[in-house]
Amino acid sequence: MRETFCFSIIMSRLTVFLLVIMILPSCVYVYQVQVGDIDDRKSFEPTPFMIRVSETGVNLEEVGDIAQALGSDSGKEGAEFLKMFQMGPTTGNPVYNERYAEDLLLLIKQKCPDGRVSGLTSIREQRKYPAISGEIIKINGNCLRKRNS
Amino acid sequence: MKSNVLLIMAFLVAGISGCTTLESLSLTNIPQERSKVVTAEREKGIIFYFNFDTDYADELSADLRSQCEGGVVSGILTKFENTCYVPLFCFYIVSRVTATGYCNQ
Amino acid sequence: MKLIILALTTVLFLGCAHSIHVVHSNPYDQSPGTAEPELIEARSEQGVVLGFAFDTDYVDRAYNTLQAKCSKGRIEGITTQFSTSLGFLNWTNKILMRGFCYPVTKCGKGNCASQ
Repeated sequence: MRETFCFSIIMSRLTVFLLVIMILPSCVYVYQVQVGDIDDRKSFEPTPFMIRVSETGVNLEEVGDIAQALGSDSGKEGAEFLKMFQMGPTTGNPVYNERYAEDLLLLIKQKCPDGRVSGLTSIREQRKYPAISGEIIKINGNCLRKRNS
Repeated sequence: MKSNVLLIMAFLVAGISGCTTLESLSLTNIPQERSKVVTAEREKGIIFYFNFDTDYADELSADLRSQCEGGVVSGILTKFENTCYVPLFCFYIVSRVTATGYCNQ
Repeated sequence: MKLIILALTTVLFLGCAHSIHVVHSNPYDQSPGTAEPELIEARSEQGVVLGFAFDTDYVDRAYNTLQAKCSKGRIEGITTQFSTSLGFLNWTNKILMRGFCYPVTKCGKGNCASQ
């Protein structure tokens, strides 16, 4: 009876903790920015567009730390063991789908199928939460169309 | 004995050539006419990770322009790489920027 | 808890982890009257064991492959992606270059009035 009561307190605190994590704003990090040619001539009418592709990244070290904080040392060891299989240079957290940014060119073409693309800014950024993150590639640009004179 | 010799040889090969890592790259639109290639390269040795400026990268554009006076340089592939020398425990790193493009005059 | 760890381990072992470092994009012109381009792409890889990689020639390979696929035209809208597939004591650096190939038409140069 006493153990059930303690377990319910722990689960309710865990639920509150998880809810607080979801509600709190995340931290954003920028890794790379590139700015392209800008055409601002008056003969063209610009239509701005934004494309954002993202994938969930997992930080195994933080997963292990959270598991340890919740009382699971085996969870921490498991996470450290799995991290050995993710060796190499990383930008942000590793993701499990490498193709999420491959169709960017086609997405740009969808936004501007019959104009001139200009002013492209490519940003590689990360939105960080505990243990997970959003690995984001954002592209801002303008679709230029000739003005009807 | 043979395995020790092989290990030493591998270490020497790694030491002479260094470990090269690509840090970033970019490629601009490639023109139709690709007969004249222009290349510029700048590098800087960094000891114990102490680096106080990146002026070596500023000269690239001027170098390309001087090779294509009065023309348009496009199709530029820009690579930024770091080479660290393992026998020196990577305390000596060479940062290299290379830009290769086509000149149309 | 053990079942969750086992399931997670299975998923992570079966699926490789990857990291995208750099994405670069370029403008292009698809105004009315422009010929419809062909989408071309070039990929190259470099396997790295224990961090030993002696060159970055795989970048030049992708560059040359992309140009070979559009040898008689111009390539615009090039998007370049540099990523790494992670592994145990080794990883693979990957380059993907995609672009629009605008082929040279017979009217590309000179007087088209005769046509």
